Amino acid sequence: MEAALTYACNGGVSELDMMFNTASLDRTSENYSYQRWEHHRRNILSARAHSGSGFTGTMTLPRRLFEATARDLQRIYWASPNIIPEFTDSQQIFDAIQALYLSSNTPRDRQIADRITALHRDALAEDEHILPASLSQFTDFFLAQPGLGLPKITLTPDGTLRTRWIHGPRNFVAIEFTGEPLAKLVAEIPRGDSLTAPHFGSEPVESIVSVACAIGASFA
Amino acid sequence: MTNALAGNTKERIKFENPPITELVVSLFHLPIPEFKAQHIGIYWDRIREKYPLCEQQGVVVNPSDAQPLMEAPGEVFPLPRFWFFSDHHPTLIQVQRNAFMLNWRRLSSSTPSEYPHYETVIKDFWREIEDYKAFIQEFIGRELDPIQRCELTYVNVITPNEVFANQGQLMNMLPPVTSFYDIQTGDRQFAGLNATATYRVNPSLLLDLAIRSGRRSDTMELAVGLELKAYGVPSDLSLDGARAWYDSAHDATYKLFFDATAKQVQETIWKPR
Repeated sequence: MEAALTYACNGGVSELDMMFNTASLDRTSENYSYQRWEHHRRNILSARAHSGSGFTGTMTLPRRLFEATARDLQRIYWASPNIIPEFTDSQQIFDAIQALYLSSNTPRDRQIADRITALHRDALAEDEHILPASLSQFTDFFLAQPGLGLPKITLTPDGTLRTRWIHGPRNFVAIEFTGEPLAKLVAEIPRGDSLTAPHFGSEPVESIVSVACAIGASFA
Repeated sequence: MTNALAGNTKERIKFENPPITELVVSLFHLPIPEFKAQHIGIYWDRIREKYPLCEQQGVVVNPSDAQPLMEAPGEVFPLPRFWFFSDHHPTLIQVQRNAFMLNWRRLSSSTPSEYPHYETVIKDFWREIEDYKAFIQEFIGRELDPIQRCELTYVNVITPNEVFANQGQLMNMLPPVTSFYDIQTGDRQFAGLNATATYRVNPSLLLDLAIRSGRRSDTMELAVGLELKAYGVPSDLSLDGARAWYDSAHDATYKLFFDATAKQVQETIWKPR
């Protein structure tokens, strides 16, 4: 199965036939998994649907010149480091927006994507920008935390993103995505008898939610 | 190095016989997962009078796309790219889930088409994309904004002429390749070129100059592909911002074309008007 898939990605002409033939053999074995076969079939169809080249022209001669070159380069770079092309400054902003927009947690993450777009445009208008490391940390955090509610999202004067889940007066939890391994955690948690417990600290991003929940914060 | 012919971009040189075969204006946007095969038919119906033919093509993957959407949820077959065109009209529209493109093509000699230049093609692009945008809003309820990437691509094909008859004379046409000739030796002759140089014009605009030499498969005649591709995105990722971006891209490609090609060829083969 793996060999068939690799061949397909390299643009072989009979990959789909190989795939089906291999799958047929698998069907006779006890290990046959329809889901696995379906997964590979879809991967192959997806690979076939892509041109493998960024050439957007339609004329036959230049198309052959440029697409043939793209195929050659794919083979040459088989075992080399992943070298990415030059990119423009706004590329990272778009990547974050797209990652959120296409996430499985669609309604919340699309709202977050829209908010990031608005913040980016507001920042540009004031000759500021979102700190790339903060945006990257912010995006990874929300993609890994589908259960959290939609927070208020703002940009600090330093260019870092700050999120706040506000539940009432003196009742909130906030995370500031510094872009460093430790993110800032600020919370005010009601403790009864009109008492409020303030918390200020820094925690690793991976554990910041569990730490906050342990002191009574809510991310609903 | 700059070419005096290019001069001020406000007063552009236009050629009688430019080598251009195709101009492509491309705009990549957020993928629209709700855009399904059935919508393609509805869209084609809107433009079918002008573009009566439709073909499926492999999806163009944007090289800067960190997370291409291969397949939308609930889709049995991945949505390909579609061409809408006519055999008698040089304009062609391309649509895929995350992109809209408009091509001007030099048609075959039976229906010759004079290059109308950027100013006309970009007007066509904006007219068609405004209609496409209205279609997406009406039938899918989505916007094309924010956008991921704009591209302006000039595809030129150069065939043998008075100053370029074989691979050894490629530098007569494209002086920047001279350094490749300089490292020839008695037992190592220059036989072809396949190279791309990238230039940064400003933080939101990059420019690729690609040269590919080869032969026509039908006549085995020598042919050189010269592609100038401007790419990037307006800083605010907006569709409105793309208008100024394309104009800047046009300025940058215009200057690079003049700097990359030999003045003698510009004057004697392509001939300024």
